[in-house]
Amino acid sequence: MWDLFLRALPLLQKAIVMTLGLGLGAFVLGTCLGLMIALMRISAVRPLRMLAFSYVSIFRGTPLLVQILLIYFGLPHYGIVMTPIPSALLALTLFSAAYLSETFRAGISAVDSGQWEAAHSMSMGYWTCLRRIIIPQAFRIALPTMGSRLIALIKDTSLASTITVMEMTRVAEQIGASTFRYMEMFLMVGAMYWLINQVLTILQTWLEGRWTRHMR
Amino acid sequence: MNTSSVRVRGLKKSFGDLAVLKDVDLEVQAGQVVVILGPSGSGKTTLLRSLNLLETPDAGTLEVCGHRVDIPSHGRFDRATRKQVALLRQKTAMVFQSFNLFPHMTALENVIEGLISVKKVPRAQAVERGRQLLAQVGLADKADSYPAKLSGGQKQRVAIARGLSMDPEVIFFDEPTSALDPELRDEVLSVMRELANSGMTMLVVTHELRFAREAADRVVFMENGRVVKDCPTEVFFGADSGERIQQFLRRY
Repeated sequence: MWDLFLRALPLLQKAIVMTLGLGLGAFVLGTCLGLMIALMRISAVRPLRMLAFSYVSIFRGTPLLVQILLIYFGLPHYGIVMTPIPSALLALTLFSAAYLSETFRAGISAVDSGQWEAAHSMSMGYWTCLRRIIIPQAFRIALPTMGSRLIALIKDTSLASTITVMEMTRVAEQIGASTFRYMEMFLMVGAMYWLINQVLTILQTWLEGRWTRHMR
Repeated sequence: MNTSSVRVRGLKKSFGDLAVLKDVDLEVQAGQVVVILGPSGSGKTTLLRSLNLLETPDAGTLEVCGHRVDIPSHGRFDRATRKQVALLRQKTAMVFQSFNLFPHMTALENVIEGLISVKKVPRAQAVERGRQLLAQVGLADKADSYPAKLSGGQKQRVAIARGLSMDPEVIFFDEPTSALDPELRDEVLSVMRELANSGMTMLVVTHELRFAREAADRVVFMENGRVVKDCPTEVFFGADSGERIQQFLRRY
């Protein structure tokens, strides 16, 4: 197995970067989009609420694989052509934003309403209150669930292999095909996914302790 | 200067079928300390929360620190009214029963938050003022403590300092000691007494009769959503305040 590992290493190194890039990239972009959708969901403006609700309904209610295939194979029919990597990044972002928006919405509603009242009573406006008081607390509440979403997202990047993105799963498949050593290759990348997610779990736990230390 | 800080006319508020405020009038002169007493559910807290529009009344007019808000008969506040609400809130402060300190900020950060994010005071200047205010409520040494590490009485004193940071013309106290153990109440009450002596205009919803007796200029007694009695403190606690008041006072 070691010889196979050494042979696969140059390709795997690039594949790890791709997997991490797709996963973390989609997580960051999905966090921004998800936060916007969460704010729309709790907005006083009904059309915005409806829009956000529909978004979550569609992107959480359909398989990620279908979304990836639609973007990569479907959109060119309408003149929107994207290369595999941006297609995958877009699909992962849209998909994770749907889940993350619900995480943020839960976090925001979990902040005690007295916090809004205290801020309003000192004449703080809606956006300042969100930025200074509510969101910092909502993030702390949402952190464990956000961590779970990130881990799920790292694993979901494997679906990008279907549209020829050279991430870990696709590299394993290709080397497996050329050497007929599928078992070892998939065990190898399986272990690598696991390892990445362990590191992320440790990071999340550390952040959680650091951020919520004062609030307990 | 004998101007009114708070003037309320015909205030009405219902929660569903329950009428909590039924046509309430109230006037508070600048510099006065007014305590609002009354049994639970009499509308005291709703009245107080209406004064800075944390609760939106159904009808009535209020004028607080020179800012007038007419409650529209239906529909939302227009832009001009919302502006009045924002200005009114800048001139008032509120102290809550459950403190409502910002848990992710230290005591000092809590106190200077309004200065920095609402009044746009430079940070160094805000910190200096914040330390002053913490010293005033006897918590100079707790500036860097987070709320979770403070006792209830200390939290409420930080909340008072936070309210004072905005240089309010009136402070509303909503049952400021009700969530505290008896031995922690005194430290909060003594800070409030000092404020009263310094000439601050205060409206206090409370069950602390001793505080009312010692610090209030006037007592407003509410029952079933109405002001039943509004009189100088010595009259309220005197022998001729009426059968209902005597009955209420006996229960405490």
